[in-house]
Amino acid sequence: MSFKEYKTHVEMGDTVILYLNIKNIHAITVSEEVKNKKGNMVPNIFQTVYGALKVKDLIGMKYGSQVQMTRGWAFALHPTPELWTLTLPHRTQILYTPDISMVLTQLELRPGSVVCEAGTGSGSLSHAILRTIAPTGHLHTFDFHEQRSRLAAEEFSAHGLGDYVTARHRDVCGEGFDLDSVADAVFLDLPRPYDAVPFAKQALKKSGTVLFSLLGGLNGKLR
Amino acid sequence: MREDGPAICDGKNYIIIKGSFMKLAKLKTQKQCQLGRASVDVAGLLGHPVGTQFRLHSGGGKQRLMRPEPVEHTEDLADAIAADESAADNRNLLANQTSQAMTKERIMEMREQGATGREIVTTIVDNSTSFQGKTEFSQAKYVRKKQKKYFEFISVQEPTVRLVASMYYMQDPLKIMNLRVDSLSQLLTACSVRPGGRYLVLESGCLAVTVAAVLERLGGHGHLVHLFQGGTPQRHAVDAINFTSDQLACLSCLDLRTLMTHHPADPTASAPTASAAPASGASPASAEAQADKTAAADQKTAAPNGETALTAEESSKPAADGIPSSGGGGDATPIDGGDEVITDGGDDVTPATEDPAAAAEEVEGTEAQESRKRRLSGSQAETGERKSKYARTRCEDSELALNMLSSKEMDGLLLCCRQHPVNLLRYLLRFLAVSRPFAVFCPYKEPLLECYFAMKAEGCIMLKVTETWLRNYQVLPERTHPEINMSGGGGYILSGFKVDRSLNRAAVTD
Repeated sequence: MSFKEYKTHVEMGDTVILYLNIKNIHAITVSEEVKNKKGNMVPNIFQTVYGALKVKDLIGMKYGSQVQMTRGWAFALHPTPELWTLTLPHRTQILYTPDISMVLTQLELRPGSVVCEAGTGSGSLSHAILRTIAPTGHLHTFDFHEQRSRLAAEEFSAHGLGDYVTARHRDVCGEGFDLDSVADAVFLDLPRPYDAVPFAKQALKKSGTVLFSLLGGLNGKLR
Repeated sequence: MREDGPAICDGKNYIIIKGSFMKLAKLKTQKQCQLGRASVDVAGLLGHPVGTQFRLHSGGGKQRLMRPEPVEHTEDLADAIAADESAADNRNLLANQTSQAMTKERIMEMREQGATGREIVTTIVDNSTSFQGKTEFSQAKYVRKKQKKYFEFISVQEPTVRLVASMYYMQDPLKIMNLRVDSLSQLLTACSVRPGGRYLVLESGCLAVTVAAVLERLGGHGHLVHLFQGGTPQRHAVDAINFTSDQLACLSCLDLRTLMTHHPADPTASAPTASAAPASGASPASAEAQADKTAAADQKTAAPNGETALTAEESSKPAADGIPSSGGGGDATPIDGGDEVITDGGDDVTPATEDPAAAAEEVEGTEAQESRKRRLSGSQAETGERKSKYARTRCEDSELALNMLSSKEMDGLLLCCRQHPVNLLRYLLRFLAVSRPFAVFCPYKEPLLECYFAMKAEGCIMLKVTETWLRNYQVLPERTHPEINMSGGGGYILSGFKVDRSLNRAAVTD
């Protein structure tokens, strides 16, 4: 729940970023119990090199303070899209903050922007977009992989961002965005972005921008 | 039927783009818009949707007044002018000066007679004896090069932070401390700038680009305190963008000296000079670094510069910490009002006489100057209708900013100043809440390395110093490759998080 706005103290259901050292950062969802690999519910205890952390003990702690564990301590940080990018579970290759920063700037995103994104992937860019366009904007994100689309939707909801995003399972190259003249910006990170371009044009307002990444590296832009 | 976007209005700022040349201009019906040597008839631009492309028709005469005509697409002459013949390679090409029959005078004549770009380029191509001997790619490259010179299309765009920052960087990177657009974009994410947040930005010498960038991301929700050093804060980028009054209301400016009067660097010091002690250690280094950096002409700021940032010379004693009431605000005003130096055009960085962008800057300069003069005359703003687009007077601004900072719970801290950042960062860290990020930009990495160690000593975490390269690519079929020249100067960024280490002082008994 702590992605929506800044908070001072940890509450049940929050995502807390546990910082042990620069190479050891983890995102933890605060709950009493958690599902283990066998599918059973067990007490939520997070094991680290500095000892065990009873996750429910985080509740009521101030963000930014030190967390005591059995053999040392760590820091509990408030989540930001940038920290999420570093700690999220990868289902696909993700975009990292330097590229994300350029995408946000080149698409001129700001509060109130309406954005289309394909594919959703693991939701790294999505979280950054949502932070930038809230509270008055909206993100329409598409992925042709059913499970990934669903997982992303669950994450957005768990993070309190459900109102600002519509995550759909759809192949935009084949079927389009099913949107007409609503978007200020479209971002395509697809194997064949040119297939989606005519649909992107349809979805865009007359004054919108499209940005797509080719070959995982080259950027082209149309207006 | 797709709705058009907003229309080009009289009296607003726009960015005019001609090829790769960008210029900021306020469009007024009675005036012409100067573009290089030609001028454009503004009346022909107004009313069309923002983003429209226009073809310029020569009006002839000495003034070279061009008449714009809206077009759906621009032409790429390389496609339009196809030669019948081309060679497979360049084995027969000789580089002598005789291949072009057209003379410069003849081309100028054609231009004055109102020939279109297409006609001129076609004539040049026809009169080139070596054209047929070039390869297809080479012919296209030649036509594009000629086209660039006789290009007659412009587009009118809404000024956004992206365009304004790119424009300043293109015109003169030193004016904005080499803050390239990708570095700027990373500052925004490093501080996780979000609507509704409260941000403290110390900026001096960057034409207010970072201030405008944060303001754009706030979109009317949240607050931004712009801390500045010297007489008046720079406003260039903020004035360039057509911010609404709601968006501008999020911005308040505060002089660093005023802040330090209310929150002295070292509260235990009895005399102001005692607080110079931490600064003096860094002074020699920072004086040198500063001498290098201010070579770009920061002379107009008569006020104390970076290395003395922590010595509040003007204040008599360190005032007790406390939120000034409106009565107490009277203490602040002598410092505020007394040493106000109204620099002309707010152009603290360079005299506005030098370059092609001078005309644009003068427009902004006078505007900024006028609004600043209005703001300084506090009494006028109190009565009835405010003439200034800014919501508050300078005094009200300072008070608001001080109140906000006194809570010491800012959501992000951003430093982008010409002075050595280490002491400033040490001082300003106290206003940042815990578990919140800070970022410092510097055109050089050495000051940031000092900051890195200073912040480590303060107990901050996730400290990183990064540098980015920005590379442009030529994208053409079978000819896609990085461009030969790449920008090496985009500056460096230090980022990190502030945390609370108080647990560490207690003994670990487990």
